[in-house]
Amino acid sequence: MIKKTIVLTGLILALLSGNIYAKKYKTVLIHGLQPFQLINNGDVIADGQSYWNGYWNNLADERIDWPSYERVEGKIATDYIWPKLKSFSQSDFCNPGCIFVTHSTGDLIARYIIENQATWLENAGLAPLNIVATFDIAGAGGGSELADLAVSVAQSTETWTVLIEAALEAWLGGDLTDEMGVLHDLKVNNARQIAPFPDARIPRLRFIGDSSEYLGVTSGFIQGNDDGVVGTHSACGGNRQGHFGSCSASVDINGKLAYQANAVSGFMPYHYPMLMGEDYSHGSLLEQDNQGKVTTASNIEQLYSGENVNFTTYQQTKGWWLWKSDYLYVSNSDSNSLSELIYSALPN
Amino acid sequence: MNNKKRIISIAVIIVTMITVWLVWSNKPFKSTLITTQQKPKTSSHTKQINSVIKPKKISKKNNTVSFLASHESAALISKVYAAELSYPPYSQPLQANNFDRLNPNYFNPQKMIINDQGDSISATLSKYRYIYPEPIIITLEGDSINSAAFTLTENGTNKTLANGNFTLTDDNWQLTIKGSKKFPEQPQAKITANVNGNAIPIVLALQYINPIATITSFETATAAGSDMEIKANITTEKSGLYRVSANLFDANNQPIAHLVMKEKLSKGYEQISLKAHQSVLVGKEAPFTLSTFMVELMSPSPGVRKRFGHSLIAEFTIADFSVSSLDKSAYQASAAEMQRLELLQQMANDN
Repeated sequence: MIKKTIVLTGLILALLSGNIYAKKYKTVLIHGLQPFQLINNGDVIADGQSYWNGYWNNLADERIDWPSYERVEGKIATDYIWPKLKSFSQSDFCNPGCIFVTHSTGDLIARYIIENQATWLENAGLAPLNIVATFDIAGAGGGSELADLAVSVAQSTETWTVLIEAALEAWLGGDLTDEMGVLHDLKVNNARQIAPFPDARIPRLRFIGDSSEYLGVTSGFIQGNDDGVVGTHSACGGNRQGHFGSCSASVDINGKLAYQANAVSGFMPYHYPMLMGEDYSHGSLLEQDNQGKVTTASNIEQLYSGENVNFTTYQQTKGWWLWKSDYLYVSNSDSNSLSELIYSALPN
Repeated sequence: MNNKKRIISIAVIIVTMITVWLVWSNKPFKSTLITTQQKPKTSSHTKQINSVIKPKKISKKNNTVSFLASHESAALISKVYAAELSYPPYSQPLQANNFDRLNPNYFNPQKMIINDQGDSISATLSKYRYIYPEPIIITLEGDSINSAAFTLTENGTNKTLANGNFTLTDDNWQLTIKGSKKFPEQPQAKITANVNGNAIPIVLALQYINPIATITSFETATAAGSDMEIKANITTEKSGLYRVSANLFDANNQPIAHLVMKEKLSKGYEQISLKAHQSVLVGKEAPFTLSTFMVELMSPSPGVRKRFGHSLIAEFTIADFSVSSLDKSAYQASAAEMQRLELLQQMANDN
């Protein structure tokens, strides 16, 4: 009895102290677009915190919050990214290694940080951060066609088609204003030109959804399969815009094992799609609620661009039983949410 | 938006969603089996729309289903990443599907919906980033276009910098705008197409650059340990940290490697070396060709944008170089790269 009480007390103390969540690497959250900030500026820190309330907030060590009404290379960099980078460097926060967990536009922000942090910090007499990987959930680093649409519509006084009005109302939740902020950076061509080739070879692991929380009204504007906000060309880390289906040429997003003729044709450097969930939307990917089973997004022939390593052994040992199956799912994905799977994958 | 308009808008959304699903959705697995059901929960990101249509899942009763531990996905990625690390960062293998590295200045065509049937027109720039004095070439495609106008304006002030009207050619509408040194780095380009009497705007993103540095020539390629080294002569207008990159091709114009070098340069006449490691040259023979040059002056501090240069040489041919003269030493990944690999391997081993 005494033993049980001690164990229980220890468990409660561990839970209260947060130690039960301790991971080997420090995790930093970078959120995505917050459309309401384009209408009412809001409180950047409070909004940043509430963005992750669904699951991640209590599991991460730090956040980089930024306002949607500013530009990435402007005030987002000077007033929101830079103070955090300085603080991380001065406190040796990333010494054990930092993992950035990003959502949506946070993917683009992270890429901009990876491109510049070492130069900026060294020029300020500080040590660069040790970023070991990013986990990019519904990444918008390849831009969103919805941003193209919104910026064009904002430039006009014309009456818009019902489809356009419904899509923008669903996505942005209100009328467009002149303050487009980060939407300019999210335009597909701009996004794909913001720090496209950082020198640091930091693995960028991608997690992809394929359902819409907007009843599909936005999907017609987005090329290829989409999660309501971004297409697979962006979420998978595809190196060009296109009407792509799955991230993998051998597995459909719904887990069906079959050749995918319209799979993403190539990836940005060091971008590796990892898991795809057919029933996860752009927002629900961040939540604790299970939406359905997920499947693997990795395909070796697509990912590997070199020639001097042979994967035959891996394919022989892992492949033989897969090819006899019709569907492939990730274990426990029928009970755990995709975010829970991501968190559990982080080394302890 | 007032309440009446909002109610109408929501009603319109509900009415149009059937159209959207049936007409717009071209996702095969969604369109084959569609049914309606109430979604039992909403996420904090879900908009305020109550009735939800979700596609019914395909029945898998008669199919064989396999399960893969999530760490096995990481195992594959860790092996791929380990393979990538066998090449130095300054000389990475290049394949035909590395579209972004092969076409770093590509402009993705931009569509705009023109009616409730979902018909669209599409606008394309000949490239994303122009270097003075290059002209800006714009193409517009689509049915029912009666005419189209183009305006280049200064962001923020909306001051007109240039304008013109499109001309109908055999296949599409085209316009060429003469380059100007006065164009700002990030102007705004707006097309207004007259389609069946409606004015349809498309706002395009582009950059117009006055180059900060110029590659003027290359020295003969030489062997330097494990690397084939090609020195570029470059003139800079400002000192700072420069990054020069280029793609290396074989005699059949097949991509071999993406070469990158970053170095602090002073203002004036400078040299920067591109290096191709022996690991990407195995089995290759000269002549080689270097092309797709990019010259960047890196952002020195937050809020200071990166600037761009250019090359006067579009292609540099390395006619005579013996790959066998290179030292066969393998590249050793850095400590930081090994830690990144270690993370992936830990994930692969289920922590």
